[in-house]
Amino acid sequence: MEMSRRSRFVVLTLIGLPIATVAGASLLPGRGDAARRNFYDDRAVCERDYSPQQCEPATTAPTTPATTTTTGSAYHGGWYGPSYAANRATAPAGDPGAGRVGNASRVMISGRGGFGGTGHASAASS
Amino acid sequence: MQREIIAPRPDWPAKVEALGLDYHTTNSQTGDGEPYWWEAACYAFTAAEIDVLEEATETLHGLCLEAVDRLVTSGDLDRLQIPRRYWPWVAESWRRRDPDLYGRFDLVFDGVSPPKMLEYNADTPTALIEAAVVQWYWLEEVKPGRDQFNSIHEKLIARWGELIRLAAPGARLHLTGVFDEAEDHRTVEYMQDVAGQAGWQTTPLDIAELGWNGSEFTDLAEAPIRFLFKLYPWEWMLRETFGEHLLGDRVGIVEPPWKMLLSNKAILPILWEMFPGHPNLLPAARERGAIAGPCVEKPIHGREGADVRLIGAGEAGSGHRGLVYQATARLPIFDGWHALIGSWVVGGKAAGIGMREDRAPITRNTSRFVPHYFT
Repeated sequence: MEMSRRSRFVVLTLIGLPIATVAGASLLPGRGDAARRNFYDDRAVCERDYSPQQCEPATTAPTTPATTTTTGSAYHGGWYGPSYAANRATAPAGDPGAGRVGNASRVMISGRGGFGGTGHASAASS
Repeated sequence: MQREIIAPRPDWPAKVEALGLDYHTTNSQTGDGEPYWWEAACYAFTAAEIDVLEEATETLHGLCLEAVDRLVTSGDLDRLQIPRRYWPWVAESWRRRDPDLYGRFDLVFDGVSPPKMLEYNADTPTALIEAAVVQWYWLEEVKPGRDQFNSIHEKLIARWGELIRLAAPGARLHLTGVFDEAEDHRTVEYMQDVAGQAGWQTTPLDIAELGWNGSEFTDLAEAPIRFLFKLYPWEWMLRETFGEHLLGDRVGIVEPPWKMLLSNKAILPILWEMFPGHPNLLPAARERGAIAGPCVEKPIHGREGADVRLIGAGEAGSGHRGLVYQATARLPIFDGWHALIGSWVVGGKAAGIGMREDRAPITRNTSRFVPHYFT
């Protein structure tokens, strides 16, 4: 048995703030403000659209019709460009946009709402 | 083990709200609610009683891991009503020993007899902030110099630290739950806090905001989710639209899939079959007739006391599928309140307790949380 059964310090960095101001929440687009992300077969093509720092290696290939194919080339590893606002009119300053040239293999548009139905129904009825 | 009547701090609502417990009163919106956080009383333990609880908690966790191993080895998860297509995926999660974070045993303990396990909330335990944080600050102010069985906060930070070392320095953790529920939202926020203190980059999002782009789960910025803390039951996820996408193992999820074997109350008769007569277990069975005398009927996927039913001696069970029967172990009664111990496990170690009490013999999500100390 250890000697101390009690935390020596309990320091909180987020708790107690109004929920809407919690760090991280404000970094994301709000519900309905859809984001997009380009997928590239080649790093070089990604870097024609964005800076090298904005291109990130993908671990798996997009495979289903949830994405829109614009060139249809085969997957050989793949790279993601940065996230950008779907609606240019409401995009924040500094939004990277859809790419300088627009050579993406696919534009990633995630489906949402595939989880949470049971929990939200339960919350609504309680 | 005693219950003491004490004077609450005059400004206790503001104090607990400052610590994130803004659901300290039920139906607070309508103003006719009952206090959920109750500091007009507290429970006092001896160090020897805390020793007993600590040892029982770690013993029970060990028995549970043996039961998981037995289930995975046998390959039969039908008793737990887990859809068959998920069986290999759950088993592989255990074979890999995907790391877990936490859980909470509900125990019957009167300070004299060995603690008895009522159930193991191994997947989505709540009442966390009040146990880890609020009662810690209560002790500092109300019972300075006394001790408390509560290193939950410290152990959570340490465990998240171990998990990020298994991931990568500065890795991003997404955290999700049902944000319409104040307690769930605050619990996720608290977990974001302790994970952040352990070095994780954190992004919270509501469970309905989780995206699927055809190959990966994504956040609202279309960034792939690599590590996910979910305060959302596995049994719900498996039956929802995106459930099948879990099979690709693209995300490291806390709690890991194998924990669903323990949060399921069908584990109770399995434990009793494996360890009959164990002093920390109660007789449990799938059939009412296998339990002599009065018992408790529990749905295997029930939450927070919902649909739990006391059945008298000679009374038949409902007979529906998806129920288990557990011998009755009456909660000790103090000043007319039935007291239940929630005993926390973090990273496989006993981490502390939270006391709940209710006028009724069945503890529900509205049952009061009462702080404790020991000497």
